[in-house]
Amino acid sequence: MVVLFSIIGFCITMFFLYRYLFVAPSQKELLQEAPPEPPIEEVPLVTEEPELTYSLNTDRVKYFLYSSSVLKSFGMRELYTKFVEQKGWINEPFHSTFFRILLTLDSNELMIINPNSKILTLCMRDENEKMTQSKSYEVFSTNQILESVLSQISNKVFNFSKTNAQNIILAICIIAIKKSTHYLQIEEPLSVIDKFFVNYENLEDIKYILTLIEKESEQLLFIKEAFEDAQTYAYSYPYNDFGVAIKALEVTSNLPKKILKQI
Amino acid sequence: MDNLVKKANIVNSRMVHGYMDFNNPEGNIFELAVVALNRDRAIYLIRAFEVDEQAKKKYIRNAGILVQNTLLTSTFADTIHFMEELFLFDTGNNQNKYLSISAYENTKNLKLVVDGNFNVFISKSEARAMYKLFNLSLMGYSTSRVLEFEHRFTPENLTVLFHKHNLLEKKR
Repeated sequence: MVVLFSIIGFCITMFFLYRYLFVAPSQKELLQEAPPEPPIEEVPLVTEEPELTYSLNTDRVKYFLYSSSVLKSFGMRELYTKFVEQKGWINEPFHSTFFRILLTLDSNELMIINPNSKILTLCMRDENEKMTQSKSYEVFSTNQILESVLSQISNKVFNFSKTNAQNIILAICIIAIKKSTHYLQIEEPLSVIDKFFVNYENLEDIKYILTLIEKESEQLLFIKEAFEDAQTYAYSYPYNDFGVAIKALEVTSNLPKKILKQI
Repeated sequence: MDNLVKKANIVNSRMVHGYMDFNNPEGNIFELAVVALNRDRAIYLIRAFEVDEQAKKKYIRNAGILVQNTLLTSTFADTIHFMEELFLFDTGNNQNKYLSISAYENTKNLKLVVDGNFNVFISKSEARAMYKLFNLSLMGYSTSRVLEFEHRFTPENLTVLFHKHNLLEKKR
């Protein structure tokens, strides 16, 4: 019995000795030296993906356009951006012809006599007691009429094919110029119109459109209605022709240079 | 230069509410008032008033005669001259400036040549009525202002005033 107990006691002491020598240090390390927590890395919330760039298609398309800053009035610039820049109508006979018309209307102050205006003759004495005669009437500004007509009809005109739409727009410009007077020149400035259309191929088509508008064909009846609407709502200015010299209409023959421009 | 005057006139007319006389230090507003002297012949007296809103007073500064679409006289002296020729009627003579005497079936009339195109005939009763209306139109106003400081309109100024008072519109 004693031997058996001593053997068991030896075995137990050997077991604890083994544990103390080999196993315990590793458990001690686990208990004492806890591993440090890893530091929290600052991660950006949104990560932007870099844009895909292709070496061939980097530049936007540029067009040869006239700089609209040459035009003084805001309305004429609007017309140029609306019909040339936004629509991309830069085909050549139309582009420079339209710009020449805008430039001429911009630099000359054309007027349309208000049909509901009296024409008063003023016989007045001037400072030197001499009798002078002058006429007073109310006028519309041609530029304003043209702006409102073109803005009214733009949606209907864009339904036509490109060449037809361009011809109709030029025909409307001609009608506005035909209706208007220039200072004392009450005659139609008809001869001037030919100066706009130098080397213009579709001039016959424009003349045909003009005759269609005069005959009040149903397709183009909206143009006449637009002119009537514009004249009822436009502001009429008082005008007096005293001391105004007869002055010919100035058509700008030299157009400014075109500039490469992004739209 | 002439064109500049016209341009300035057109541009200013957008802003002008009433024509201001910048020569008078108060800068009072001018108004027109129309008196119908004869509606059949379309003869009107146009009076220009200076309105002093602070003192609440109106002064006549000019008067003119409008016959149909022609402003015949533009100064107060000419207007008085025209009215006196009306008053004289057939006792006037060939030296009349505006009106000449014509006879039709032994009845004497005054003939007014307007603008060299058409004639306006005025009978004796019409002439008397017009003279009376002219005198009535001046009652209640002091004429010292117009006699001393008559305002001279330029054609441009007057056109702006006509426009303001809708005298350039056709009556429908």
